[in-house]
Amino acid sequence: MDARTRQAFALWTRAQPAVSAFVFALVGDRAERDEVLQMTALAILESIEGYDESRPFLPWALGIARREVSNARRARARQPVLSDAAEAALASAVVAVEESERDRLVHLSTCLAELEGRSREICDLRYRSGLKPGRNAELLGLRANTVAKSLERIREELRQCLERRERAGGLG
Amino acid sequence: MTSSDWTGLVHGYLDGTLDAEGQAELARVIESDPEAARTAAELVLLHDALDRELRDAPDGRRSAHTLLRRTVLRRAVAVLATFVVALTAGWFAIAVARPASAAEVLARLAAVAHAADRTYLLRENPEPSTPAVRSPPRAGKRPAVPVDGANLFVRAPDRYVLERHGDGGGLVVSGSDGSEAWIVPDAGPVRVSRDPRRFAGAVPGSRTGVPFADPRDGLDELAANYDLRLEPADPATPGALDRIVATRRPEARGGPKLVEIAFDASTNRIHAMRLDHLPQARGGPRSVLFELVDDAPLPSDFFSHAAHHDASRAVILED
Repeated sequence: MDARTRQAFALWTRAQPAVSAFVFALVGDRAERDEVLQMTALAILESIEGYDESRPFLPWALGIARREVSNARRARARQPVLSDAAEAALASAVVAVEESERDRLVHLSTCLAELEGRSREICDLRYRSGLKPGRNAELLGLRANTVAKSLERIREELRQCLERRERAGGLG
Repeated sequence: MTSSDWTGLVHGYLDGTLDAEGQAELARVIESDPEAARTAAELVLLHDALDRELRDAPDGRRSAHTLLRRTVLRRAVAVLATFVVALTAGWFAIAVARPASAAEVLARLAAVAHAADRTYLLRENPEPSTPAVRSPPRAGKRPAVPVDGANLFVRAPDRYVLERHGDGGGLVVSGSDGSEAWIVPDAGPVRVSRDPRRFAGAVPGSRTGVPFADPRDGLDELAANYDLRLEPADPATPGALDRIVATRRPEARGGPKLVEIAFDASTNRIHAMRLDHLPQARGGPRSVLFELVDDAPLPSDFFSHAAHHDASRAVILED
């Protein structure tokens, strides 16, 4: 493996969580995200010679990811939910917050451990089992809107917990 | 629009509950309000981090675990269908692809190997011309563990489960969830170690620098100590796979003399890997074949020992 390929791996490893999040937001499906992420990794590896090292890597990688998302949509004959301009604005926003969020998200498992009872159950069904609020609600005997609102509340509580822990000095 | 209205819109988008009007409003605000876009980006990063954190967590709740098992078959079919489509499309890609070096191809294989769960069937001395007799170990060496017919489940970078038959014919399962290693013998207590590499010796190649559970390191080892040759598939043979043949350099020590990797050039997925002329100090087979039999996602708790024995079984923490 040559030095350039090693460098590509190192840059990709650092950028991958943000690229993954961006792709997940655009495709909305876990399996499709993983598939697009694979294709993005390969495309980056193949075109690393064209990467200008004087510029930040993440925006370049997100550009390639957007192209791979478009390819995946074409293959599935599916229309995008967001406009082209909104996708570009979201990519810029991901770049802007990536570093600060990375510092916060190291506390995620600690904050998750604070979730209990029904909140933990709803969160597990949403993310461990990958169930959308409608199916989640069927299994719990709740209304879909109740589950959607609960998920909103849970994520906001987690954000507050992450911020609190980061301010406390990153001791987890 | 208040801050709460805005975050509600983003949460709805992430959960797939927004109607067309809500989607249009979301797009409009992201385009026109950078501060709102940053809030959306924060939630997007949290959403993905939650998915990865909980999907990979070793201890599941019963309800989620049960549901996951129910959906495995459906997802396996979906993955297989995607794979078939990709394979079909790949024939065209192969025809126009620029020639790549074996090292470049290895890098691609390593990149893809990190993204999916894989299940391999292990066979000792797979060629009919190779004697099925296992060599005895040299004096003072612990004999190599038989792995013929074993199943190896891997999730890069460091999770694996090996299911094999022990000396008495009972099932022995060993593995690692990345933070601790464990072994579930056919009888007696389950043993757990905080060293993730403990019990890994049964996986062929793991003692000699070809750790199959971590393709990036394993393939790095190949690139460093082996001469690589790329053998493209014969386009006239349907289903033929490209191959990388790695021959150990004379100055390199340990490891099999020959490693052969068969892969699909359209998906960069390894379908088979043969370790040939394995070191014989501990006896064992001269050759072991790893054959891909499934690439469906495995349950999130599959790599923890609790998924492989009854709750009543005694568990000993060794260190």
